Amino acid sequence: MKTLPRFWRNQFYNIILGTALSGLCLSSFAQTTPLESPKQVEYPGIIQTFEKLIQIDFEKIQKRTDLLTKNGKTFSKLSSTTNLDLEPDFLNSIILHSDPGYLKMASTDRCRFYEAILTDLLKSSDGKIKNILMTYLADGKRESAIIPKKDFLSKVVSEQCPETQKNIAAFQIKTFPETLKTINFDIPNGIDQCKNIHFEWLTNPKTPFICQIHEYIKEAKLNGGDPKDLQQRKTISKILETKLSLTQKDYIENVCKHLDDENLFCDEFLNVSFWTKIANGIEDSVYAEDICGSNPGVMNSVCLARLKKEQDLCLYPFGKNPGLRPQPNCDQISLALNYSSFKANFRDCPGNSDQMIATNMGRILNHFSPIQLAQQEGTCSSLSAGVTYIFNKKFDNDENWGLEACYDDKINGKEICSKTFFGKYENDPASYTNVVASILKETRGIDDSTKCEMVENTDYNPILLKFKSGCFIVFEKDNCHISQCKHKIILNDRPVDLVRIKGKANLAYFPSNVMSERFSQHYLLTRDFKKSGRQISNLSSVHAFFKKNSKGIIHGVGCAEDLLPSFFKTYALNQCTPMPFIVNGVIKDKDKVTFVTRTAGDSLQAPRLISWSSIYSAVKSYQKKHPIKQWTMYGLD
Amino acid sequence: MNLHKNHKLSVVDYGNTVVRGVGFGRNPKLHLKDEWLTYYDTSSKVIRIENLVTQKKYDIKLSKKAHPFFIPEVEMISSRAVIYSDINENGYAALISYDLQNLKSAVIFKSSQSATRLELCQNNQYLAVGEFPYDGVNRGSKIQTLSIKEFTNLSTFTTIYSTIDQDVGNIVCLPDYLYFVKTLSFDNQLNMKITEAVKLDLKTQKLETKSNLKSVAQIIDMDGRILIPFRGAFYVLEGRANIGEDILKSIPNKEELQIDL
Repeated sequence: MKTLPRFWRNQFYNIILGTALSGLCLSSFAQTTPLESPKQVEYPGIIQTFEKLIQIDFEKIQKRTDLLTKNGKTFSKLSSTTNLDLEPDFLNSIILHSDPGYLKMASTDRCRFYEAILTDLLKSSDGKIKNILMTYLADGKRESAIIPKKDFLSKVVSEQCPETQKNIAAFQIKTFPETLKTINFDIPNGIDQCKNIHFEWLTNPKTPFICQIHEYIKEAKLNGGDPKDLQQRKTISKILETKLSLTQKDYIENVCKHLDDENLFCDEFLNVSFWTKIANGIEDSVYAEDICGSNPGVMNSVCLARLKKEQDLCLYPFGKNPGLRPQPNCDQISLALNYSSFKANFRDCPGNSDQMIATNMGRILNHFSPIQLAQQEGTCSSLSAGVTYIFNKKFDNDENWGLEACYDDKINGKEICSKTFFGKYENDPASYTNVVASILKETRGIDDSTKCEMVENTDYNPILLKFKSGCFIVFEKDNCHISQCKHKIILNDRPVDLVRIKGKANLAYFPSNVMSERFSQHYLLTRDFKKSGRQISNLSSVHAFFKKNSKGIIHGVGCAEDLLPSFFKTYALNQCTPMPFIVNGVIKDKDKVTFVTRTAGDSLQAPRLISWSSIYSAVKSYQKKHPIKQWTMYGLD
Repeated sequence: MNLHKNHKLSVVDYGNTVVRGVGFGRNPKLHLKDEWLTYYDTSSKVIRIENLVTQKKYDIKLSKKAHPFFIPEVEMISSRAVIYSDINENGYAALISYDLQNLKSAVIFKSSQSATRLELCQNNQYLAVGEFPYDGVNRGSKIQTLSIKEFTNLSTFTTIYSTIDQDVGNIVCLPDYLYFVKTLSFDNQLNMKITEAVKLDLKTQKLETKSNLKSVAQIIDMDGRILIPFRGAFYVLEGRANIGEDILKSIPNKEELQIDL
């Protein structure tokens, strides 16, 4: 055992959890006269000796209880509740008969111990504890008494642990759903985070009550306990089960089964296939939709089972979300996603992006403050464009967004331009649909209520009645990106060519000179958006960063030729294709370390495992080519 | 930062200062003693070929593919034959020969496994074709050579290297041997590789490790100097490491100039 609980006094310190006690131990802790060993003692095997221990313990406790009852040593007759302790033999009996996990939880705090008794998690030789054997001080002398569980709660626990009564009230059938909402069922993404979560469960005041419900349901299902009230317990158990989702049930089972073993607890999260988690509803089905091709929200379980066996199914998904192909194989994606806490619940079509800075920014911004997915129109890369533009506008950097839609104002004899991004997002005035509508309103006098709509050229059919009137921006899906989009504007079934596109959506990710530092995306993220950028330049700083900020991310720019040499080949000296990337998970195996990485060209749902060596090489190479030798890898939290 | 961007490409005679624009694309490459130029137009997915002397142009349209950032490898083995790599929608790579005279193409090699890429390099009457897996994929690696003395018989490949390892590739061809990046050890679960530059003798097929950097990614050939670009520095595998010398080759006289525009 690593540490002993600090607050334990007297015999509590002497507890060695989960180990079988020898007759010698019993005699050393007991304050009563040790029993004689049974007369017939064969040469002990382990099981035979343990059986004898159980037998000795049962007889001892039985005799003790009978003696105290016969002598009238019941707690109700006592007025004092000070200097109360459990009888050592009784304590030993609990240790002998209780689940090691519940013992470990009970050992964290006196109140946890009492609650574990009240919730029937701890057992004695009689099974569920009905009476507690305690000692108390009377006239300077230690005496023993027997306390029924009911009195134990009202006289002892209520005084020493006032929170217990509140928790009991919170875990009744009527209050249970509300209480569930206050409990965090965090899914860990790394071993350190997992161990922290395990420790939190171990010391959580609610854990004994949660595990009581788990054991109650389990016992009823197995037809255990008193047969007289089995039917009633089955009914209550069914009601309790309806209050828990499948995910919560599995999670609680994992907690209660592995309270004494953090490695087994973490195995359930980190070593279970991510595809199994999707099948069980623990993870979002968006990660498998492009591969399995089901309707959103309805995941094909047969396909998910195949993903665990057929590695190549993940290489070339047929969904409409192009990115670097092939993707990693299914095992690698599953392992990477198990260690990733990155929010990836939307598609941003990196294969269609001609501005990877906007793609990367869209991902970062969605991770820290989830974006409105429902209010998007146009290509899926327009989501990244809209999110990035609005972010820059919020921090007064929209003047550096170079993409504009212009028209000639013939009345005033000048060209008027408006900042814009292709598509529509959050009905922002800079959405191309809104900009075109306002231009048409100025030049063609269309009604205020007329809205322009983005339509794919494959969906546009001028014969249909719906396209005969109104404003439509018909675009070619494969040629519509963030900075340029091949399209035509149709107003009332006639083409309009008075709108010109000027400039590109060029932004600086990291500053390329000192004067323009204030306008780089990294500056806005760290200073204005307050995501405190910590420079990451060695492996130790990566470990320290993720240890402190389990939900933080590392973002950077490196040469694609170093990051992904199999995809990008170097032909010439000093060749470097800048590639933004995000790292949000670490996987360690002894001295080997690899990172869960998404380059701006990768699909959001298919992260890669890239070694520190490759990431460092990429950033270092980029630094050498950078005009001001900027280091371009920082942690954001 | 745009992987699709077509850059403005220009040519200039060695020693001259007059620059001529030739088009927009990526991966420009000169062939056959700088007489021919090839480059790839990413927006229309076309390999553009131009004779810099006659300025005659040819286009080879590539098929729709699953990999949006794919750029083909192109080699010209004669003024008539262009060999290039391509992949289909399912990720299978192929080598195609295109005849500039009759404008017909023929598949000369098709990979038996998906998720691999074909690399080409040419030297001294042979063409090396390397097949290497993409990152994160369990495939082996192979290098074959093809004699290009008679371009009409392009189906006879000789395998000079084959392994189950997931090598990185990035071949550089020299007269009697070639360099590429090999995976010396690999942790499959964590996708971690130790990669070094190796030299493969074409006659003996003997493999020799030439670097000890543990994460070599690229090898380039700069006018006979074989370099490993690594974290901003350049390690010389072959050739002189005379970075202190800044003397360019002398400008040839007018009789020696190949192109006079």
